Amino acid sequence: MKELVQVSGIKSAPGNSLSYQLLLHGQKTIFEVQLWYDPKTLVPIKRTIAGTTGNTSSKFTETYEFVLGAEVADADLQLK
Amino acid sequence: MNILIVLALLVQDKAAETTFQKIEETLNAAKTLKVSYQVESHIVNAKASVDQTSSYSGSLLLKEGNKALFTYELDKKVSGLSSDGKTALTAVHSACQGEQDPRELEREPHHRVRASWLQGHSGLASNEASA
Repeated sequence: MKELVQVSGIKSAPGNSLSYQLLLHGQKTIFEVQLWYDPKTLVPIKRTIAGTTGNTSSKFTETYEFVLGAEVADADLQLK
Repeated sequence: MNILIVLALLVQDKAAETTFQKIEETLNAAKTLKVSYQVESHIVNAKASVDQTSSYSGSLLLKEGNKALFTYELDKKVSGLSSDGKTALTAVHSACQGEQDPRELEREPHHRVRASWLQGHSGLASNEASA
């Protein structure tokens, strides 16, 4: 995964969040990322990704609900 | 005074990197991982008069042994990718419209079941999963 994505410039940001730059392998666009996390469980809560390629600027806002260590049967991993 | 500010920033950045590593370690250490997500996207190209906002949602299940199920729903169409640790399958279909169950397609040879996004048909593509 680290070969596909290059992370740099990690800094603390307001509200239990980190900011950093993201570079996807083979692409020139550097995306500005801010990641909010739960300080107790250290799982991501929200992430914004913004970047400009040529004349196109894009921004993605992602919100997450993480559950770690849950029971997952192999049958649950099939496309339905 | 300036040196103190620089030192403070360096310490802060070091702490941020440590936090980032701890988040990575937390996720990597989990034997299973379930994620529900919502995404809002905003794409602007003034030159092409594009100002597009869209949203989609989905889920991700990960399990030891490179087993995974990733799904997303966009415009009431559900698509996804699954991996049993040896073979990765992707399906493009619309559960809401009652199209072909992608599980049926899993039985077909993968050279016959390429995903057909452009044609708007249910489809499936299979590739050996990378280790």
